[in-house]
Amino acid sequence: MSEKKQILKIRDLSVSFHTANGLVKAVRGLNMDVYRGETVAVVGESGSGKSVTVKEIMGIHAPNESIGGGTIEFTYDDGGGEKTVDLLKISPRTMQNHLKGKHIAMVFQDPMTSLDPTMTIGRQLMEGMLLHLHIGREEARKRAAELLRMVGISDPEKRMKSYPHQLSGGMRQRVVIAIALSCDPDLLICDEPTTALDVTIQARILQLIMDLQKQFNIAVVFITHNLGVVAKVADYVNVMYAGKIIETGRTEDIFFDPRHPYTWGLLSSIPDVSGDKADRLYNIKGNPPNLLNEIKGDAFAPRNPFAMEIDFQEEPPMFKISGHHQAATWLLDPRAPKVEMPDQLRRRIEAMKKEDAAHAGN
Amino acid sequence: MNDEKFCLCTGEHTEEAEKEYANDSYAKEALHHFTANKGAVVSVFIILIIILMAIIAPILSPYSYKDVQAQYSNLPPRVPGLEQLGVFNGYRNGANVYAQKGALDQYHYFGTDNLGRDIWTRVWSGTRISLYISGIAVLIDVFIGIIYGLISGYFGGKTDIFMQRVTEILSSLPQLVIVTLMLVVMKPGLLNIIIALMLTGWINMSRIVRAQVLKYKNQEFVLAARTLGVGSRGIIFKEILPNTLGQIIVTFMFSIPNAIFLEAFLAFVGLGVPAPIASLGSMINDGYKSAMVYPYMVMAPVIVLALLMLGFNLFSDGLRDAIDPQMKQT
Amino acid sequence: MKKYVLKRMGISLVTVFVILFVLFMLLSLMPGSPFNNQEKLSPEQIQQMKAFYGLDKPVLERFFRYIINMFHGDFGVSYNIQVNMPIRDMVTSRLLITLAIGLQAGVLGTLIGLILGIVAALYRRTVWDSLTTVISVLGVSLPSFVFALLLSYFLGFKYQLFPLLYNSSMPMVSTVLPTIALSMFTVASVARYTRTEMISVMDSDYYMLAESKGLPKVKLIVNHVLRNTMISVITVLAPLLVNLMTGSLVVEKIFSVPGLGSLYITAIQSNDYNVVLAISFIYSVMFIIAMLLVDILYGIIDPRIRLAKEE
Repeated sequence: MSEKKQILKIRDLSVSFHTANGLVKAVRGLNMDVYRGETVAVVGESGSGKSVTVKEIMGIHAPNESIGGGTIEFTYDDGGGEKTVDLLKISPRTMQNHLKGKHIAMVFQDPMTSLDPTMTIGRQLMEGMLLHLHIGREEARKRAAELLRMVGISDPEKRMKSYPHQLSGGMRQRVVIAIALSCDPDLLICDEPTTALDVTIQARILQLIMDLQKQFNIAVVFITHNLGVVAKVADYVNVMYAGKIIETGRTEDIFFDPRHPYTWGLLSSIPDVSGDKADRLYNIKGNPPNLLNEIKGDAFAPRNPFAMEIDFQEEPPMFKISGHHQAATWLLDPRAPKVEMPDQLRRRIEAMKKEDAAHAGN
Repeated sequence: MNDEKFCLCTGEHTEEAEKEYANDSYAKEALHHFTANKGAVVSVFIILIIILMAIIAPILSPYSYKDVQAQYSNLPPRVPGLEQLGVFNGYRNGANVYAQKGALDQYHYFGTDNLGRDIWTRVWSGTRISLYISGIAVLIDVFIGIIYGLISGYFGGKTDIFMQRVTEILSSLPQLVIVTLMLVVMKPGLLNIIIALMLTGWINMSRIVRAQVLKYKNQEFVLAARTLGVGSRGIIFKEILPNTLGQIIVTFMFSIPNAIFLEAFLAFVGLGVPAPIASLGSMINDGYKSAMVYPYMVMAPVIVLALLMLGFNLFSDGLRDAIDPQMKQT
Repeated sequence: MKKYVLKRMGISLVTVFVILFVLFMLLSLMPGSPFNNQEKLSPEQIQQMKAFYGLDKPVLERFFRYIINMFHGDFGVSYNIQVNMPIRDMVTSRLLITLAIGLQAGVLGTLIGLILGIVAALYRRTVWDSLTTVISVLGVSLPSFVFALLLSYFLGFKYQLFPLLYNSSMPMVSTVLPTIALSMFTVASVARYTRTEMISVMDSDYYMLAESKGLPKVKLIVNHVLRNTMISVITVLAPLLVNLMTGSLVVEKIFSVPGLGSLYITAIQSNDYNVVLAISFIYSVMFIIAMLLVDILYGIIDPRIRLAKEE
């Protein structure tokens, strides 16, 4: 690949929340890189800190939150050349008036609740454009219709006069996507955009996001707990557990050569229709750690069937596996005993590789 | 040495995975929310003190709420101890009224009214009556409201539509008019006032219960119970009712100050408990006419009434906030 | 929308009939006859008077006549307060005063309440917020007679800024204190409700989306928050009407306002049933009309109702 342009660079981000029960450390030292034209997926269970991370990027701060440290560097071009800013340092006003909507946009999880029920689709769509693109009402209306057509809504002129309650969930999510793309953002954040939708519509919305991403050549950060979705859309995958990235790599790395036992668990727990009936659906035992408690060693250790003594004492560093693949588990330490992924998973990956090759051959 | 740490360990750490979510119980968390709310904590004390006074003050007082002592009428407040400080000393316009009327051996903490009755005793026995009336009315309301709401919400269909129309019409009748007419016909007495208050009070409760039932009746745990063959009664009382309890208690608490107010209001327009009996409203009604000359006569019942309503409102607020955050999450 | 309005109007109409029926029943069931309070009458005289008042006709006929009369504004005559005075003449001027005070209090209360609530929600956890919380807790908790008494004692009696009692030679100034006393509850409830609603709107997903478009705060508030908040606030206006009504009785009594409420109280206390029933009817109709207006207003503002099922 010729010089990739980095758009987002998160270093050592930590975020906590003050709750009635104490301080919840939701994100504990997170690193992440996003390049233009790429889709980066963040996968993890609920409560692993994915949503908190993207909310920090969007500058959506809860009143009881405190940022422990770190930087979120965002590079953009505001017409006067390229600029890099730390999103945690700039004023909320700058964030609100100059970055949001124009350079960073977001698609939310639940389309049923994310549109204003009292405003027509058209107005909601034009609002951002009138503000950021400095265009007139007529032009904005034309552009809005064009966007709606692009996201697959027929008869856009008529639809623009509709109110959200007159549209189905899938349609509303298309509208939300159109709103997000209305001002040509550099970075699009999708927070579980298909979770609330019917399975049949999920695939279409995913395809839409992928198509638009290619067309506009934007960077997409895709939050999900669904590995099937990840395999379909992502170039890079970050696996998140208890507020940290525990394995990161290209999609092939994560799916075909996973190294962290948690990733193994995640991959094994995908229901597989083609697989052996004898295979029992794998599940990861126990619960994610309570982030109210101080975590000592590897957060995954208590649930890890391959846990070692050191996992309970010291936090594993990121071990480099290749130029683009890293994982944080002591199993990669040269001193560790050799542990292979479970057989069942190995068979499954073999099958997936074959299938993949077959697809590639077509 | 260091390598020892790199041996796979089997078993000895499993308990750590289990204990992670030894979470606080619902009740404990709600209590925590409640006690963090200063207004709510203060309100508990206000309510308790007023209830306590309503119970013991009339018993301990040397006067009775109905003893007329015409020669000692309109005495200003006089409290032993405080009188040395120059307040509550029985003086009016620079003269000791107690001395003028030959009542220096008496102490009326809140003074006496125009018939010479001890206001202190009357205020607390009036509080007792007000609490009694509103308490009983609200309890019956809750009972009717829960039954009505449960039936309407649970059985749905035509039953629900019919029952909803009935409440819709009943609630578009102004409560004031219904209650007034009721009392004009029946003549105010303790029982009749309770009936009048009860007549319209249950509608709100039934609405809330119905909404809650609708919310829960199609949830998985109810469906599961039904699949297991639990009958309607079991589902209503074992599955749905316990889940709606929080909302019911909050609504119940909010209805108490309403009933207290309504009783006071009725007494104020002349539909209160009959004469010698005091209620806060009837005392305000008696006292307000002379409020410009003897402000203390109306002040005492007004302050107690205000504190009582403030206490119950703050308490209910705190209770709702303590119960609500959990409700929003589900 | 048409269907919605028709349904609302239907319910209102049914309610009016229910009220008429109840009133009529009460009229026939009233303990004793309306002539109890007068000097002892011979049975013949009572018969004569019954015929005079039309009380000797069959029930059904009387009911229909009653309905027709009520809608004509013919409420019969007073039995006790002013013997044989047509009730219509007694109530018309009073109705206007009551309506004026009620309207002033309602509008003023709603406006001030909205402003307080919006300020509190915008400047959360500041002095403004605490101030609004205190005002709204006090206003909701303290019954209107507390305010009325405080106002009349301090502003009317001690400092004599306003007339202590209603003075018909200066009607405008005379309504100031009653209006303030009456509006307190509305101010408090509207403020409290507006604050909670606005905060919940600002916590909503659609607010987050609107915010993510990069709209400036003012636009967010005006275009998204206020409109959605208003829809919810309208729903609490209807219950507030009830309070305005009960409150008006208290306030009129304390300030001796020659309105409907004080006549109502006089009628209750002197057992003038005809007047009680007539005023009950007027109150009910006013209440029902106001509720209907609130419902229709709600329908106009909320597109979910306005556009529901447009066949």
